[in-house]
Amino acid sequence: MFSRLARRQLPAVRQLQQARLKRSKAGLNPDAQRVVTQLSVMSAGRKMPKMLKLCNEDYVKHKTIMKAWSVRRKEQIREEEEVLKKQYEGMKEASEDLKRVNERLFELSNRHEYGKRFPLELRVPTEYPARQVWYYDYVRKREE
Amino acid sequence: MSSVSKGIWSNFARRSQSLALRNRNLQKALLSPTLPHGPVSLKKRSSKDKYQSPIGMDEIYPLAYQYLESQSEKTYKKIEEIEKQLEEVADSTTKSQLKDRKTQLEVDAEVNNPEIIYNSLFGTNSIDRTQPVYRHYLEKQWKDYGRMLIMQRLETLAVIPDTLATLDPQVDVRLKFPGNNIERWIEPGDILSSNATCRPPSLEVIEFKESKNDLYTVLIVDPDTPDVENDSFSTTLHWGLKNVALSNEDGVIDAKKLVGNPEYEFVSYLPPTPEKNTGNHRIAVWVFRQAEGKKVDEGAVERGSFDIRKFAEENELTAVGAHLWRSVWDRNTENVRKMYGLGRGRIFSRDRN
Repeated sequence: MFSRLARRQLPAVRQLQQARLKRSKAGLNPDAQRVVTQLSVMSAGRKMPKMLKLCNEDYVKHKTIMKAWSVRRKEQIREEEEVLKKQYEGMKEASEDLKRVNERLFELSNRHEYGKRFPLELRVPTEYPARQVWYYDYVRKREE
Repeated sequence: MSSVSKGIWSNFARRSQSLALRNRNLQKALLSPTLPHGPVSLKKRSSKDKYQSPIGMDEIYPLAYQYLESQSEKTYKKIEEIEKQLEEVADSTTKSQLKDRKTQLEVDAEVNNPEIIYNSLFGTNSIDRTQPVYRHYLEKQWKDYGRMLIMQRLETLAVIPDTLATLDPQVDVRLKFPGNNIERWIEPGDILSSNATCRPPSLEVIEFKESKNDLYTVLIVDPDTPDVENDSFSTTLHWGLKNVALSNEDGVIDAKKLVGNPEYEFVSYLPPTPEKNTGNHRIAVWVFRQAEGKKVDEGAVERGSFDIRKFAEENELTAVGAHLWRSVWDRNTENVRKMYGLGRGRIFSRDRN
């Protein structure tokens, strides 16, 4: 009873307050908020990937396929790494050989040369090209 | 329909029969690209009818199976080499190293076999624990849940360090009480009615290493027995078993085994009958593995004021597993006391006189 009375008196008070200081409501207006809420409720399930409903046999088959893929992939990576390692070892061995045979040629081959854009010995062999392939802003260093 | 398996996984000349699926229809389903008998594992007719296998699985599955099978064949070749080495080597340390390596390879060879994956996922109750690969899967499951659970319960209920200092769990201990409508494995820490615990429990000790004839000691103690004179608590020994021979095939300690081997029991079972107003009593089950070839030689041990740490130290016992439940005074306690002739229990109250 008392609360109802209080509520009846409330609008006048609120008006007074609004006249002095306009309150800025946070967030959207109620209609827009309702639409947003409904949408978010509706789409919650759709954001999730659909659950695979498999019988036990197919679940085991699925696991087997995934396992075979991962084993194969691991094997491939191991093979690639081995090839790269062999390449590197080959280069290193050739370089050592040169050093043993002819010191001068070895130093020549390792000397930094300005203007030689792709010195072969600078790059470690990789499977893929570098992220930044070309230095467009390259300025040649001035020789003294 | 022809099987997708063309190699070692369908050859049981040197592999155990327990590595195959027992259910023929299920086995056929796992060895064919499609499901020839429909989804056998689904029970409801309606779910069977509406079930569809994922698109494209029938093409890819044989490839995957054969790839993994060929990997397994390579592993079996390695095992053969190790077997040859084992025959030649005489040194014991090298021999044990080679044996460990062989067990590891035996796991690796079978770990991706779909039939074994099926068995270890959906048929854990009836798998053959003599096979290293099944033990590997059981251990993985146990480490994911059971081991963490028992350690959490032991620590939060302070059984560690109230009974033994600590535990490095190596075996899975399962416990159940016969009859009384609770024919189920007890979860560690459950509060059980004294009626349910009035007969000795049956235990199952699951070893994850190869175990042919290890000896075990089992002690059940209650560290919450009130000790009024010292204004403290003392430990009571409720059950003592010694020199229990268990293996991978048979890890069960039940009434049948105890009747057959009466020498196992050195302290008979005393059911927990907590006195009124003494709160929950923790009843800890400790499983010890005995040192190799060493027998525990204990006569009748005093039940009251039992020192479990001293006992373990004297007999060179290593705790490998534990379990626990809790008991509290209830309306069945008097009956159980009468059954065992224990007399009427004390009733504790706030004021002592």
